[in-house]
Amino acid sequence: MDYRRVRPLFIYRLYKFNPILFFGLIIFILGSLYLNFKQGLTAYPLIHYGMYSRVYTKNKIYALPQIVVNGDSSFKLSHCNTFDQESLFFFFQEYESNEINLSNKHGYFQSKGLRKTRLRAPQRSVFDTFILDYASKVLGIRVNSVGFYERFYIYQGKKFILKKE
Amino acid sequence: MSWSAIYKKMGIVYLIVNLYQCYVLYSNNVFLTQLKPILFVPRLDIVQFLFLNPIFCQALSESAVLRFVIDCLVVLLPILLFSLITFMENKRWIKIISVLTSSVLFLYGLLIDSTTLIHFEGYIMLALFSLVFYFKDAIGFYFTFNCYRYFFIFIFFSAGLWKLRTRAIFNNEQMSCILLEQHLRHLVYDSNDYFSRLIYFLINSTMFSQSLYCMVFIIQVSFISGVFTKKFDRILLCLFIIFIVLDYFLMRIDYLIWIGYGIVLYFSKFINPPKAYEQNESH
Repeated sequence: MDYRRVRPLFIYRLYKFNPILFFGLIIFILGSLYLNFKQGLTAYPLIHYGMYSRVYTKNKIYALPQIVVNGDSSFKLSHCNTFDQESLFFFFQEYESNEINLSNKHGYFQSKGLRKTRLRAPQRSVFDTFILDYASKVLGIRVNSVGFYERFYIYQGKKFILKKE
Repeated sequence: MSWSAIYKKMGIVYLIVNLYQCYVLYSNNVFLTQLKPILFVPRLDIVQFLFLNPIFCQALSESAVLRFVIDCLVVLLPILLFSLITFMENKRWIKIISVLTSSVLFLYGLLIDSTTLIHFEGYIMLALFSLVFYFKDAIGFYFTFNCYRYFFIFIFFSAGLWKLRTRAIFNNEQMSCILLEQHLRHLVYDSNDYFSRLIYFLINSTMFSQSLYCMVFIIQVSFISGVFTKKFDRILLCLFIIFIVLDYFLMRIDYLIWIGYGIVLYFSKFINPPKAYEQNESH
């Protein structure tokens, strides 16, 4: 084999073309890998592409988020499109998880010397005002109270049965 | 096909992808101007930690004008960049506008990600795609095009690698469980329609559904071949399209905007190091 005819890899060409770009790329790849393995997949948005990589396990009972609008726990969301429905649940779930996780994250950042953390979960009062306005907009009615709860379903092979309280 | 023809064709794809993303935002009422009220729910990641300044977020929630200006930039800058690369030869302006567009799209992705259900990933692609046009010469375009191609390969391969690291690929019930969680609401409320029956079939046929998951894993891992050779790029493109179609019909996830990545696999065989550069390399 004539090794002089082997075409060099792109990465080698990049080094010859611009060493700064080359080292930038290497630092980016190594930095991404380091952050991912140390912090987990969601710590770093450039590599959020897990594509269902965490291990899923089958449960007997599944929780399905529900919404209570103006005291009506059987309020039907069927006239909203799927995106709006999911958005309503998203805000409730994200807010709850952010309140807990951000405080943990603050501890981590502060332990690393990054004392002035910028990420803050919105205050409860701000969130409450927002969610009322947002629900009114999405549902197209005046919403005075909106709540979130979970209904539990038992998985029975080919169907889901509502779990009685 | 010459590099300049590919450069311009990539520009058309770039414009289409950007307009499609704007349509997605508009149809879901999630342009910043359409978001009223607005609430920032930051995600737990380092980039949001670095870039999302609370003072800026506060100003954005209070000022409709600021939101409108940012929306206009997101719509108009890609059109401007497309016009520059297609109709003008001014390299300096192309450089400025491509960096500006990339930065605006990156920041807009962060804003949209922390205020709506739309995720940041698509905007990383759009931001990087803008930088592909930074150099309007054969050598520069060769390098930006290939860096972009490598990033795409890196994303896909890392998703496969991650499945190995978490050992999800060895979990026999993985795909069944994913389908259960992904379509839970649909299965509970519309349990008798055609789609539900298909999903129940896949959930109960653990072997069959897991083989689909393994197939996706193999597709993702096979992207590593792209680091060493461009020979298989057309095959990778076909696999990528299969992945997008399966995701759309089975998982109800719209990866259509990722065509902006996939296009590099179509054009890659035409993008070779310029002759002058190769001669220089051999000396």
